[in-house]
Amino acid sequence: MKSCEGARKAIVLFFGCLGALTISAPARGASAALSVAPERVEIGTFYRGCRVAVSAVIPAGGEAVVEVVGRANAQNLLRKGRRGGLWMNVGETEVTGAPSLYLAMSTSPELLSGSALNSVWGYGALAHEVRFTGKLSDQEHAGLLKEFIKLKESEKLFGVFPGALTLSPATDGSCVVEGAFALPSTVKPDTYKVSLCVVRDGTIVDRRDAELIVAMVGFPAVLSNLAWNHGIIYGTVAVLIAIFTGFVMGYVFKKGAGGH
Amino acid sequence: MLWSLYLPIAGNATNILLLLGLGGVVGFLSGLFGVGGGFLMTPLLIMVGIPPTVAAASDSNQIVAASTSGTYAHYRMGNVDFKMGIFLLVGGVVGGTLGVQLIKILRALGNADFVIMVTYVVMLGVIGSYMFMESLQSLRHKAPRARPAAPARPSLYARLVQALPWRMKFAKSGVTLSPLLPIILGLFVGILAAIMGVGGGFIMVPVMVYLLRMPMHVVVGTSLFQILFTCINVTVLQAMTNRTVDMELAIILLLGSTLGAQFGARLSRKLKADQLKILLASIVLVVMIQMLVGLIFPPHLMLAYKGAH
Repeated sequence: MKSCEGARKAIVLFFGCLGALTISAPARGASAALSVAPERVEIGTFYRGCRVAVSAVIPAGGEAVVEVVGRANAQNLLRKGRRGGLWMNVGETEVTGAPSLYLAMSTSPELLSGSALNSVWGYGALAHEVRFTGKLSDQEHAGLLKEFIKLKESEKLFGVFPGALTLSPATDGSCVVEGAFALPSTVKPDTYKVSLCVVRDGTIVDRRDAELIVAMVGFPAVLSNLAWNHGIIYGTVAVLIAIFTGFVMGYVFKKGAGGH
Repeated sequence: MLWSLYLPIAGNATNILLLLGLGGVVGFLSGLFGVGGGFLMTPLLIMVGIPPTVAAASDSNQIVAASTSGTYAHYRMGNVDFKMGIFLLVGGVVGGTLGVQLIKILRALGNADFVIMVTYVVMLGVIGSYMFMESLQSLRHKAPRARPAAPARPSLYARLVQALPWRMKFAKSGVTLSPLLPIILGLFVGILAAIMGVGGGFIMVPVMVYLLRMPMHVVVGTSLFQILFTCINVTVLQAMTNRTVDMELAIILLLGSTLGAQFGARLSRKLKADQLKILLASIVLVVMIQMLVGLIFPPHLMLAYKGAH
């Protein structure tokens, strides 16, 4: 009897789980719909940065945060300081764990500035990831993060924009989140992660990810390949072009001078 | 933004007309004074958003074009002393190599940047002030027309120059001296140029005028000839080792600079030597003051990417 009861429970549990999976599968499919447009950005000869739009449908009453994050890579930086009354480079530091690109936007400004969750996103979250190595005290470490963010913001590679996402009601009672971020001209070719977190009552209830591909194409790609893989040829060609142009200009002006 | 162009090695987009303008102005000064213009162009490029290492290396590339154009223009006017230029170049190459090693040692000791900055300000200040004062005095005493007579008793420097062996005539420059002198002076300039990370034209010009006693117009042409080879060497080395030469950036700059160099070379013919010297001295002093201000006042950003001075 006991074994029969056990078998019945197992069957119920199995079908229960199957049912739950079947129900949640469409829900996941819907939540995967974080739209990024364009999905692929091409850096060509006339690229000067572009706007990338993001949109998603979220349940009514929810708030959202969108992050665009680049791969973390180590970078060597020079620290400036005062020596003998003069400002100059006073040492080096290696920064690790810092993304190459970090942009964050939210529907409610508090999500990126005032809430308890601000250590989940924004510069508060970066503070947990970024590490500086070198001869540094704890106080210098905190100061360096602030300066590092300033450096990256000056290149438009870092930015936090509270309240930059808009929420509008959709026909089915849910909400549409929309926003756009400026991809700077200094962005490196790579695959970037775009994430959307849905927040309700101070808790993350859903997370959706998408990819943004940035690729170098055309003449810049040819030049870049030549420079990185055939340095001697690239350098020689650069010098020959310069000498040729110099002579041509000289010759043209010689002719011009003769005419007068 | 119209006229925007993406620079693949610099990894940034910038305005073509702005780069053409920068190239034109610096090329004009290059043709006028016989300086490469690196000490002006590199900071200007950094100001328009080019990474410092790419700015310095690409500037070397564009100086190749400007100095080719300028050397050619001066050669046609008979203003290039090739013999003197080659001796200076030999010294400059050896000095540059020694200077690079010196910087490596100083970097290991941790005070390279202090040495670089102080060298820059002191050199620019001393050269600029001396040239300015000397040219001003010459312009004020123009009335007698004749140059002041040589001092009756030779100076220590003159006696040292006289004592050097293998004296030979440099017909274009109108001087007779030992080839050791330009080699030694070239060596000295090469060391300073390597420390300061510049071509060294603005040091070489005063050295030729005041220490080699060459006429100003021959100095300009000969300096450009020497800079041409120095910058060819730097461009190829930078492209091979650091991958910091942006050919696209250099081509736009050189289109502007070669044009500018031609106008500069023509104007240099019309201006008197003292006028040329006082103009160059003023520019050198302005750059020195700008650097000094940068050293005294706190910078906007307290971190910088490695590779910049």
